Amino acid sequence: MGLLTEGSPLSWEETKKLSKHVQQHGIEQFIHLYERLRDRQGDILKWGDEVEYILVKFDDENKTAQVSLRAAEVLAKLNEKEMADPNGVKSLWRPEYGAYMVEGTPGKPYGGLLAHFNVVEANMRYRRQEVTELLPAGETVMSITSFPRLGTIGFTYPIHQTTPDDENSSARSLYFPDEAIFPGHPRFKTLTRNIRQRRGEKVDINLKVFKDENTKLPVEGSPPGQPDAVHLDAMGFGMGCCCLQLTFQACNITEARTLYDQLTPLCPIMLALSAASPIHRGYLTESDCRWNVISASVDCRTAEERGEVPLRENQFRINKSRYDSIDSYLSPEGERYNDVPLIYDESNYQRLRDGGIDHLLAQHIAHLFIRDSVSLFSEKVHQNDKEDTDHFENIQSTNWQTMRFKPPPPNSTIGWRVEFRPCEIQLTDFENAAIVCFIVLLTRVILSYKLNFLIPISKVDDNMQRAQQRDAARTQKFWFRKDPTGKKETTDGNTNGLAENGDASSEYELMTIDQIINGKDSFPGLVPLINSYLSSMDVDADTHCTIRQYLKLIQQRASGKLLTMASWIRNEVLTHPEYKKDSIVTATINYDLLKKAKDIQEGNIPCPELLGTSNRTRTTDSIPPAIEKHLRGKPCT
Amino acid sequence: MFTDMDKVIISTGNILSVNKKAGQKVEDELFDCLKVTIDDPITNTKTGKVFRNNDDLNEKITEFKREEIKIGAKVFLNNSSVEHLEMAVENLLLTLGVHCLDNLILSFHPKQTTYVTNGNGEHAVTNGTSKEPDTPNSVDGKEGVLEWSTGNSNALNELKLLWGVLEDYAKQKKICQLGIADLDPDSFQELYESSQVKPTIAQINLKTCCVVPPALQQFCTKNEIQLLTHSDPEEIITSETLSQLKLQSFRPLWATRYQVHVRCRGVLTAKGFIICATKL
Repeated sequence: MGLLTEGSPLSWEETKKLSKHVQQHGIEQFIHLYERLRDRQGDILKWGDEVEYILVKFDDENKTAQVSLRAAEVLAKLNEKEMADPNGVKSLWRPEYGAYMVEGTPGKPYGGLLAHFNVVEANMRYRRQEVTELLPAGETVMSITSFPRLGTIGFTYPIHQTTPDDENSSARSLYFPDEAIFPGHPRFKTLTRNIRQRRGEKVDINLKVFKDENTKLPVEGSPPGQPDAVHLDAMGFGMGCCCLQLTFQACNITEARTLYDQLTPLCPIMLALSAASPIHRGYLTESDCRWNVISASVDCRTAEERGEVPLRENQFRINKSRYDSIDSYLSPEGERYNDVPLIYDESNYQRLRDGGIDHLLAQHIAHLFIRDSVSLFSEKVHQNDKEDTDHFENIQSTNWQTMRFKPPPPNSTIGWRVEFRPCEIQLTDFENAAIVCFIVLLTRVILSYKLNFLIPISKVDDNMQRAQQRDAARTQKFWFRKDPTGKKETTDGNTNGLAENGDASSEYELMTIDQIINGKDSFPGLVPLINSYLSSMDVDADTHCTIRQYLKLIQQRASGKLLTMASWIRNEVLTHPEYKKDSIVTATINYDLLKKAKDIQEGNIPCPELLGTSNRTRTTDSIPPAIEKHLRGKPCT
Repeated sequence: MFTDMDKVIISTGNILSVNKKAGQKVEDELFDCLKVTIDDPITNTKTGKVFRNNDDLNEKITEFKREEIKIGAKVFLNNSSVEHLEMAVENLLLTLGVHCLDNLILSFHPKQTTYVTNGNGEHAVTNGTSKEPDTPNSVDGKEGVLEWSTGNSNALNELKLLWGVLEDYAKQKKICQLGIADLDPDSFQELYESSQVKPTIAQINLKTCCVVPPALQQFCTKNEIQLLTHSDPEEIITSETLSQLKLQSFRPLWATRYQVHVRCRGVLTAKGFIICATKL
């Protein structure tokens, strides 16, 4: 969740009064930082992954599995190492929303060598081991996107009651007790309360239940008129999910904009391919992904802003939650594909333009700043706009979108960065490393071959919904650019490849994930493109062997030969002897499912239908000396 | 017309923006790149050199400071000829417009033929049946590197002579790092022991990257030699290929490929081939 500002949180009423203050100064802060850093050049590739984990408590006697609310305690120990040796540790640990969650990243970012791809999995393994060592018997750290029985009675360890009628409760949820929110930092409860209060009611998340033979309607807790909805009512149902994110540094702001844009159409594709969360509140649903759940779980828009009643107090009708797919491209090449009207305050936009910021970036920032601050600390209200960036970060870091465009932090050696955020977390380090390496390799291929994946933003939005359908990776088709190599466009001098009237519809078509990843007659396929790139690079044998295994996993998931985690979970439930074809994931099914998942993640049992047969790689803790030796004076790390 | 010349050197220039086909075999990639070059050539009949019109290789290289880029190259030889090797390296330096290559890898696969030296100091093939390309080492999962010198008992001695050429370039600091492709562990070790400038790269076929012979792996680890992968055939270009390119009655003498990487960014900024062919 990024940098956590320490201090005393303000109430929603106080925060609301300061909303304009934060917006105004946030924008001034961006103008200043842009002026300082716009011309920053020559940064090397650095990148890192973020893996989120949940702590699970197994009770073998009663055959139950619960989330263990031990994160604060575990985190305190994990952070001791970092405090003792901030530059030497191999991993960094941060709190996440759930009191049962931790987030781990590599101690140092990876660098621009291909050999770095071979240390990712080893580092992930190390992180998992590090947490494991701190857990009592019966508890396990797992990288699972959504805990299947989150929000059912007694899902936490220790068990806590919900207090929906207590005015002092942050979430006031019927299902998700406040104790399941990370207690070690005030940010999480503050966000929960402020989002609820800003919205004027609890968040309202409804997922279609997977209708099996004996599914009982209405589903318990479903809202009036929606008998087939699994209803969720708290931020924790979304932000209490785990995901896989990665951030990479660009050589300058232009490259960062290019990568931000080019990876945008890949977001729904990677969401579908990484789908891992078909069960919510103990019910099998029609959705395979967390995305819409999180989106609705932090939807702080009022009824006016959502367009349900006419605008009176609020300034705008807003189309999306603050957690959603991005609304505009940032590069000049992307401009013509910005076909969704952007909402922003004209005076904020004008201030940014007057501050020397171009149209595309100005409208992006102005659009982020339609949101109110939902977490403000009294110590941070008054700032020096020329040096501080807290107000900018306040709004930036609570726009949780598929991509994030990140300016260099103040007074650091870090450059312009782009964050890729759609992926669901996978069960094993092997799979997570595969996804991470695939995306970072793809960025190198995009830059080397100057590939173009742009399609209209409205089509990316459409794809985001397709991606979350049950079994989307195998059954859905997605809008995708026909010719990413751009051969046809260059002949007539029309580099954007658009017809005279600006219509881009001939440039894209519907493709399956298999076609996008593996190619077809008229489309090269992302993995073949990566292989072409690799054949032109100096890759060491071990790294290449590992990368081939990763790419094979991606290819077989795409072709449908291997299951997504979501499909695997569904199968486990549907074939469980206790399953009564009623969509309900009972405590026992939940226990058996997670127990088996634990055995697979630890390598105790194989799972060829999920992982294939070749999932032991040559990943290693460090770059081989033979490669490091030839980097003298040219540090890529 | 360059087909009238006795010997041609065809330089594709930077083909990154020209050939974007994915997943091609290297020999098909080379064919396509030569084809676009020959279709729109700039020919210098005096030097026998053919370039591709509208090439941006030099802009791509000069866009960066020399120390910001890494230039690697590979020479493909199927005949044992010191002269061909020298010509290949000289042409690389000239085409790239640089004083030094960061690395150069030699791929030397002698044909199962006998050689005589003709009047030009070249080794001409007298009994030239070329080996079937792409036959050996293609079984996935089977232990790697082919029997490099099969059928040519003198191959290692020929290789040592060629290596001497590369050592001279290395001593003159025109090549920083020397590498050799496809050697079996014994041959590699022998080359290593006998050389003044040691190979620091051992290149093996990608198909074997998960099943590297332990002897080679251990030797490389012990001596800090980079074990790198390639997906190149033993014979990258043949007379048949040349005749399909309307270079009938030409045979290839040598071929090179170069790649220009932006250091520490994992970005490929230029790539191209140079081949030399002569009238039969």
